[in-house]
Amino acid sequence: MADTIASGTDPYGCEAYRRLYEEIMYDIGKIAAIDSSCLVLKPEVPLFIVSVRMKAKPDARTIGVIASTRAENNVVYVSISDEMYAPGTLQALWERYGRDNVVQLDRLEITVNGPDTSAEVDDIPVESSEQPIREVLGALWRILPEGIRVRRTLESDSVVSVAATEEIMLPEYLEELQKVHETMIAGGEYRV
Amino acid sequence: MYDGGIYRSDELFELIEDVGGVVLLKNRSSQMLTVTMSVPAEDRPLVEALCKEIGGSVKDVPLAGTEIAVVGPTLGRHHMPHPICDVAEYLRRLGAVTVVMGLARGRGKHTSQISLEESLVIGEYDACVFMLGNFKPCVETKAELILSKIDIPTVLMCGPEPEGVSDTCDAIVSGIGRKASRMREASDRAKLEEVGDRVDDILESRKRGLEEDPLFVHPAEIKSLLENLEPVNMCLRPAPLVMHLDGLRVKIPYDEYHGMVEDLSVYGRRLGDVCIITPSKINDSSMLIRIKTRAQVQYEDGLKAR
Repeated sequence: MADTIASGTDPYGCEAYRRLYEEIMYDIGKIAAIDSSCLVLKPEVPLFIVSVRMKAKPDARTIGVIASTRAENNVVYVSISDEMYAPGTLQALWERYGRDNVVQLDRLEITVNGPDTSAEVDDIPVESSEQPIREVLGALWRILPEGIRVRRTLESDSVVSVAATEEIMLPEYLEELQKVHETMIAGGEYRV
Repeated sequence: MYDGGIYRSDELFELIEDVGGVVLLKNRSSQMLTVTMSVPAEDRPLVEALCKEIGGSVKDVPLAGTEIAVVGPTLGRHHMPHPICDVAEYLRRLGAVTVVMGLARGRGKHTSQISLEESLVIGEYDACVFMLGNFKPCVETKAELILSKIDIPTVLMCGPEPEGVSDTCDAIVSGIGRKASRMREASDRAKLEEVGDRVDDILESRKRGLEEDPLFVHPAEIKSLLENLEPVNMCLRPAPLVMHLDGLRVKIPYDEYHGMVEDLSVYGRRLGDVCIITPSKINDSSMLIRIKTRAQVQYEDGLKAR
């Protein structure tokens, strides 16, 4: 389990939001990819800052990473190892070789007519490096209270930080967001 | 409440009628049946024996004959489905008919609000369970903004114990805030029971208030009268007749049928004279019947006699 530090002015809310954060990250399957997280919760302002440090900078994924491929008589057989990538793989193959040349045999098996080698298919990108960050950002929007809608995001290699308030994003809020973000990049712990 | 199969259920309905009881709610799902009933206490062993014989079970449902609104700040995924739906389901198991609803602009701290229309819709129910979140300042601000505009008995459910909001609601159950998982742990179950107990308490005090100035006719009697009405019989909506403590919700269009309902006869009087029949604020496909008290009917009779 990744380290999650929730600090703020309301002890009950901090503990409840720490649990909520971990439950939602677990739900979207990102808990294992997170190194540590910091939640700064000031409901009386209201100002909420959530910063997440990933274990590694997410890489772009190609078909070669998420599937095994083999070529036989101008046909490449693609066997997907994780069903999560099946729709993206199918779409990428359709775009490159056309619908007539791509046949999905079952959920995880696809044949492609046309490519000479399996290496050609292996290099096709399925998921950009931004996708995991986008998913984490989506989860953070789900965690932050619904009415706290004025939000700013900071992103660096492996740290994503979001600040949210209800009405005007004042400069001091952004300064605090910057401090939290830099502390997380440096591998430190930020507490209120 | 009988909970079992439909096998030989006609015998149960006959027995309820024979002992002078009444069926409050009947819910059939495939081959399973739940029947919420009210029978005289002295005949209960007889009914229980039959239920056991036909393969079902009987349990006490203290909230039978009531309709309760479980309200969240919005219908967004931040507030639904947990734990609002868990509370609604638990109250349903206690015999109440529950409705889950969210406000249109209930989110936020300072921007949160409830409209007059929403207050009136919530006011149609016997009681309301209102769910707020995990932060004490937010709960206190929103309780003041929203709950003070709800006129029916209200149970506030929230995470921390709020201060200074006791005059905005009838009961507070703390320890249930926003969460992303179902309430299945022992501590969660205990909280659900606490919510059920608080709702039971506030409805009990409302029932005592009604006993001091009794209704002209019991809602169950009007229910059995309306069951024979053709539009109600033809209504395909689940539970076309829902009992309240002081009346009923009838799920047939007000504009088309209010005249027919008002002209029904109860104890030699026109139903429209002993009840206040209004269209529901939710939409025009149902109507509300509020039964006047005996004192109110007597007073109106006196006015007419003059």
